[in-house]
Amino acid sequence: MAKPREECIKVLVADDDRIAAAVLAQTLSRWEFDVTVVGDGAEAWRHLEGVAAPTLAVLDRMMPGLDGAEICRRVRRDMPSANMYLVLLTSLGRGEDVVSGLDAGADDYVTKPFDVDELRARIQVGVRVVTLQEKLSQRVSELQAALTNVKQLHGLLPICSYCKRIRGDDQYWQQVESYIAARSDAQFSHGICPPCYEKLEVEIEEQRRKMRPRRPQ
Amino acid sequence: MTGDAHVFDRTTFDRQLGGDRALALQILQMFIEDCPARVAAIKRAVEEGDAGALQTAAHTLKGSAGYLAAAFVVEAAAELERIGRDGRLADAPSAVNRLERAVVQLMPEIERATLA
Repeated sequence: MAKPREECIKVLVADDDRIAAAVLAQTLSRWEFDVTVVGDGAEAWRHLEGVAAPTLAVLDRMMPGLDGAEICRRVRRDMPSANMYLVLLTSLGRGEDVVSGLDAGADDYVTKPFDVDELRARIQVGVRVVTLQEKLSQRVSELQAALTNVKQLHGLLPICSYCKRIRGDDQYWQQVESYIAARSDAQFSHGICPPCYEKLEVEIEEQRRKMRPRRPQ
Repeated sequence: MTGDAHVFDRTTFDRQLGGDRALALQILQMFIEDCPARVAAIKRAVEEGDAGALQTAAHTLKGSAGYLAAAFVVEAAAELERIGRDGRLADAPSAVNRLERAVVQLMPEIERATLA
């Protein structure tokens, strides 16, 4: 059964030759990609910098408006952290296009007319790379979040010498246990330590004594 | 009757499309529709002495014909693309003749393939 569209990886196909575009679109759709086809470089660029940008793009090296290599250059310059795999379509025997295309920021190239098996193998490499990249960014975000918490607990904490409350970033003084609990996975169970117990016992005894009715003289 | 594989290599064409018959028909129809305009654009560029337009028009036809595995048309279009890139327009008329001959050979082959 075919995957729902939202679960498919988005691919942009940009080629001014409608035959090449049809072959690519049909082939990629059969492999369960969510394919968008455009006929010129300017439109391709609009898609790539849009909010619902594709993860993979197959761009013709020679196109009216912006050519494929120029699009790669712009993606790498203007969106350096974008997780985007760019494949250039080049003509057979144009070795210089391959070199300049890879220099411009393309991840790979396919020679036209491409062989379906070769295209599939190269697109699979792209999928592997973007998936790995996505997992890595996710892990980095998790680690950064964890690191922020650790920093807060290791930083300089203003603490009241008498009541032991801690002043938080919001300038409010709070109990040491609630401060730590909010910034770590620690949980507290409350009790009384022996030295405090001894002190407390003395205090309680004193209170009792004070409260005892005095004997009439 | 089997045609010349250099005119139209049916086996390569089918393999390149992963054996998708519906797509093959669609591509053949597109080529039948687009080819006259592509050749006309090449001839117009030569008549107007526009080397850049010749290079672009020949490049597009070369690309489309490549998907059809139509070697003679690909070779003639590639030659015209080189002529346009190098600005050797004096060499263009004979290359245009070669292209037209290749197209005349190709069209009946792909017409036949759409019926097969």
